[in-house]
Amino acid sequence: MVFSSLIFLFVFLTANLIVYFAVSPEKRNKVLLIFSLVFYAWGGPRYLLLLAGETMVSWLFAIRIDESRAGYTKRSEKFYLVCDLVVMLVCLAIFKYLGFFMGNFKALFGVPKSVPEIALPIGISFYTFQLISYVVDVYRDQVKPQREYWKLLLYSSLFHQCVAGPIVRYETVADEIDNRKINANDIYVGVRRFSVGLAKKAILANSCASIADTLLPAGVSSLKAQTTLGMWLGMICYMLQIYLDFSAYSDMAIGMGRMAGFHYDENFNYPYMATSVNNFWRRWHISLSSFFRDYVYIPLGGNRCSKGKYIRNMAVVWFLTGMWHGASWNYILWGLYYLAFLLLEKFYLGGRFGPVISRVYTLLVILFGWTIFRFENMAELGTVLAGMFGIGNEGFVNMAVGTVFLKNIFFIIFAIVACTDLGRKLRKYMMELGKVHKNMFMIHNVCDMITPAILLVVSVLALVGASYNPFLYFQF
Amino acid sequence: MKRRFTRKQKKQMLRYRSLGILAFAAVMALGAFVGLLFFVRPKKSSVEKRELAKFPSFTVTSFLDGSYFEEVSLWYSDTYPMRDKLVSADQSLKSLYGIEAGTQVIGGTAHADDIPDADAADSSVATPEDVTSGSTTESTTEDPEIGFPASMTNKNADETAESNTVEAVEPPDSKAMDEAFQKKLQDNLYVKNGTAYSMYYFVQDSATEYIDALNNAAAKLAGKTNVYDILVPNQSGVQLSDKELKKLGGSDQHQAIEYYYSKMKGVKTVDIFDTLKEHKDEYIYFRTDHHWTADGAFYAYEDFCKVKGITAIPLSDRKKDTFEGFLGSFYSTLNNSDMKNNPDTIYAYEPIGTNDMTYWNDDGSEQKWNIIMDVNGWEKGTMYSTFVGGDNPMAVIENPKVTDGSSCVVMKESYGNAFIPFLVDHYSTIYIIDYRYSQVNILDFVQNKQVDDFICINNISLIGDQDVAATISGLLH
Repeated sequence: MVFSSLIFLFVFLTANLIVYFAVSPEKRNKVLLIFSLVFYAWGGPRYLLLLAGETMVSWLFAIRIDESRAGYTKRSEKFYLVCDLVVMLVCLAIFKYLGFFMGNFKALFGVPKSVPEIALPIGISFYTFQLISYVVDVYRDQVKPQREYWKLLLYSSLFHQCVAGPIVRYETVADEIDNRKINANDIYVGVRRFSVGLAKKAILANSCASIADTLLPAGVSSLKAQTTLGMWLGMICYMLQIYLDFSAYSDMAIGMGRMAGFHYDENFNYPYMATSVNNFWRRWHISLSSFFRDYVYIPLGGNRCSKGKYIRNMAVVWFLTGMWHGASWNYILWGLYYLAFLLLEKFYLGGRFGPVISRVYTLLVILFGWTIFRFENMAELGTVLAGMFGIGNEGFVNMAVGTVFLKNIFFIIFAIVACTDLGRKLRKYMMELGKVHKNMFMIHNVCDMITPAILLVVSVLALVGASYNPFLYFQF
Repeated sequence: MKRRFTRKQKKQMLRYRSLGILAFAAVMALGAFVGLLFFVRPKKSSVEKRELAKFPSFTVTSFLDGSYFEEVSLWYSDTYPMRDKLVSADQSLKSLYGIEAGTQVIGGTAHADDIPDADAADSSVATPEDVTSGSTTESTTEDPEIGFPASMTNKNADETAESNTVEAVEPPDSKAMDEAFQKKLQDNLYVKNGTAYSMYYFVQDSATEYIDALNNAAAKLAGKTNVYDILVPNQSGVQLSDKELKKLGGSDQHQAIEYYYSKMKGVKTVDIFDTLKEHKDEYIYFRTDHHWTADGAFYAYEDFCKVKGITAIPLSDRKKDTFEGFLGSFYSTLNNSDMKNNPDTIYAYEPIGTNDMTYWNDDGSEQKWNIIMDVNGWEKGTMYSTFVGGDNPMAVIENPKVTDGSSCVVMKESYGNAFIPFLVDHYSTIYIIDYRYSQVNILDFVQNKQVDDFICINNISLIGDQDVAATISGLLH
């Protein structure tokens, strides 16, 4: 089930909220767990076993680590940690990467004859990483192990973030699993955040996707027929789409969490306003980059080591970051592409550009990055990269591109503004004015009141209106 | 120091926020309630001209791999009550996205093959002599009534002793076919002042397959049945200037038609391109729909009569019906405001001898109908169905005023619908088969019925699709 679907809104979430608030607080975790399991099973009940199994393994080993620390077991804490990591990573490798590895092996050596097609369990990349962070944090004595299995299962399967992130650390919610308070303001903020996310996905991201797919059709011969300006416009819309789509899921997760009393960390911080590539990665999918920072980069030695080791550490992190996004070479290439720019910034470019040029440079790096990201097919990727420089495609611009542009001109401007913090600044400004001007205060209040409902209605219209509803992040 | 909200202000703010939660909850509750009203869920969308998703049937496999739930989700949203109204509300919102220019190009990225010279020898097309024969009798089914309208077989059972030789075929996957149609006619459009023109792209492989199929039919039917082929150009080729066409790209439609015809052997070809071009300023194509008008089809009918050697009955001898407010397929694709403000009018001409016909649905059920149906008050997008009951697997028109026992089979898609009413006064019996839904092998059927004429009427863009060409080929071999 995806958040941006009518059945989620009008059946699942409505039922969830009614039951959640109808039962007494001590039963609410059980309500959440049951709903989460149903939500997960909706995408194929057999994968529920994998999720429950991985959680069971992590639950057991975390307790063992704790017992070992207290001297109750023969084996060391490290032994249990390694066991857990092996199980988690092997599961991830089999379900996500085995087909890719075997396909490449076959291409090189001709064996095996047939490559198994393993369906990717929904959200495996997200919940595996959550469970790894949990066990490592127990090993590091940063959190206490969860004694009750079902509560750990609640953490790993919670429908707010299980299938599309953010990667919530156990630490963040450890206390709130047992003690959380909700007041009307929390619910309001959650409702508003959810509505904003829903509208971002249903209206902005889906429309951007439709423009991008129109301008960048599949197949080398169709792409070759596209003009240079058409490719740029298509890629810009894809760039807008991927941020609006992904951050919308995080918004909805954070919003639903807030309604239920959880406070998840922010996952995005206006990444397209970044002033450097390095800065971009501090603003983009923060829960993923901080995962790699805390569990790979720093354990390897971080930057407090020789230049050679630093480059090695970075290479490992960015190779893994690329691969995490999908089992295909273009994602690995995409990770290494960022490695190159990060090293370039660290050793040569750092601070050389003025404020305007540095933003333009950053946006261009990101745009070409998304080009690599979009095309799993290398021939298509090559066609578009060359075509963006006017090589090998049909001219500079044609009327079809002009039609698409004119037809969506206000929308595109709006979508670009939605990627900046202008909206937030405007709201703050209104709020400040409201403190002294009576009328402004009323306008602010009325806006607050009607925003969630209006966004919901418009999103529902868009969802009914669009049979077109691709889910970008099921891949992970 | 930063100003703070007073306690009173905070209280007031929270009150509004609580009202905000209530408003949100009310919309959610309303949405959930409407979603529960299963009895008002629509089954079809007339705006989109399609059947909506059905509630899936449960199987253990589909349950385990998640496809069952996926279909339930699809069913829930696809058949949500008041769907069409919500969709059109969404479209109004989307019209705010930008500026709708008077002149637009949609798509335009399709690939066209070069059209070979019509006179050049081309070995890629099989000549009738090359065609292997004998497949028709070998592949007969034991039960001739499978997939074949029962009353059709019974009616003529005594006069055709060989009626068992009609091969029942699986109807082609009409969903895939509809997609092909959509792609061919709606993906590459030029829009000017409320009129859409669909571009044409020549595809060599489809052309070869289609020509080969017609040649095979002509060879098999030689001496018994005349085979006619009428290729209908798109309105872009007829109505746009050469200069505009050149700017837009795509293939030359007249050259393509000439190529098709030059490769046909034993087929009586009807080249209507120049005739239509002569009348290009008349109302021969709709502006909001991909079809031609009855007036356009009438010119094709006059050309057909010349080739057949009969006299065409003028329009003035027929009763003219007028249906206003037609907004066709281009409008549903584009939602163009110029079109909405100036919809099409359908003029239809009733046959003289009879206006009665019978057609058979996909499930074989029989339906009495009118050749020109009164579509006043119908959904704006469906009014082209006034002609011969729209698109059905099979239909029959019997004209009691024509007593010579002459008969024909018309193999068509929807372009043929506007044309067929003109034929009614020339045959005692007309069998109409829409190849997209046909449940019989058409070549067998023609042989079985021993008709005088076998008339294929097709739009050139549609037969340029490889799936369509392959389907026709399968039905004519």
